[in-house]
Amino acid sequence: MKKLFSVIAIMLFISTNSFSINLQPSGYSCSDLALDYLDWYESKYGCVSAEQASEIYSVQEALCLNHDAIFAIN
Amino acid sequence: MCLKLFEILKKNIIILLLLTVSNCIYAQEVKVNNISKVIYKRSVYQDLEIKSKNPDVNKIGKHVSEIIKELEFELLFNTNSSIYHIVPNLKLEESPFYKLVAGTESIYYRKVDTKEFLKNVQTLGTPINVIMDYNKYNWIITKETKMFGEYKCYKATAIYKEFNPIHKSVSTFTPIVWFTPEIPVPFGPEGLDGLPGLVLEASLNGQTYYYASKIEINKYNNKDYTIEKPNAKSLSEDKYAKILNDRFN
Repeated sequence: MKKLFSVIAIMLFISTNSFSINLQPSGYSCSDLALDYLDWYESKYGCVSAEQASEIYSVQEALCLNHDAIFAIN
Repeated sequence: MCLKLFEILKKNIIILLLLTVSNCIYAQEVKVNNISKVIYKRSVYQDLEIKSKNPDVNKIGKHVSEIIKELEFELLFNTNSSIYHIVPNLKLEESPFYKLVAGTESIYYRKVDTKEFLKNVQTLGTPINVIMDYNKYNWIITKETKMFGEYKCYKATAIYKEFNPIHKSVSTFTPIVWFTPEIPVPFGPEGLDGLPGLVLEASLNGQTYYYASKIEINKYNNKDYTIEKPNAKSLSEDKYAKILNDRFN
């Protein structure tokens, strides 16, 4: 019984912490996702200006943090 | 005596011919005396198939690539000022991915008589007019030409360096533009302008480029469109760069 409570407690701890750092379904945080997206974007469309890099990063991160429908895709 | 007279006449004929030729060249110029509009589209020189290690990025990227192909950008100008922005697209706005693409686009405004050049950005949560150097790019005009429809365009290049706060390194760009002196206004897409002619094709990074897909000269008046500076708080480019740097430090 004690073990079961410990497991539940650990699971609860993990789930709350996961939520607070906004993990994506695939396990990436929003800042990871924003950086990966920027890397992909620059590989495909070429280097962007500092201002546009910031905007791409910020928009992507904000959408992710707001749990926009964009990230509900599977 | 006769020989001298012939020499004078010869000189005058040459001058007359030169004047006629220069008049012909001048006649090819399009006088902008009303509001004109250019629609630009975006494309890539090479359509690369890029995969990310992050599966979410691949899903997002697939949709973003489709949206980017359909985007249009509008440059409105008269002789003195221009405004450039993305054309809202109701069909695309329904997609959640549209926000991701459109949200990263700035509005550019240039005014000749007051030497104003700014971009209106949304990055800081509220609209900001970032005041830029009127001659931001130190263009080198080459002799290379190509026809863009009926317009003869000249190639111009520049070297531009800036610190990227996310990559934490200096990025070097070699922007390339094709402009036509036949439409003698210093405007163009994406702030890639400031040349003695309208820019009809422009690329900041040699991979993505913007090209004029529709050119309408003198077709509109002040009732159709107004070219006004975006109403927002102003910031210098240096201060804006500092805010961006601080944000990612």
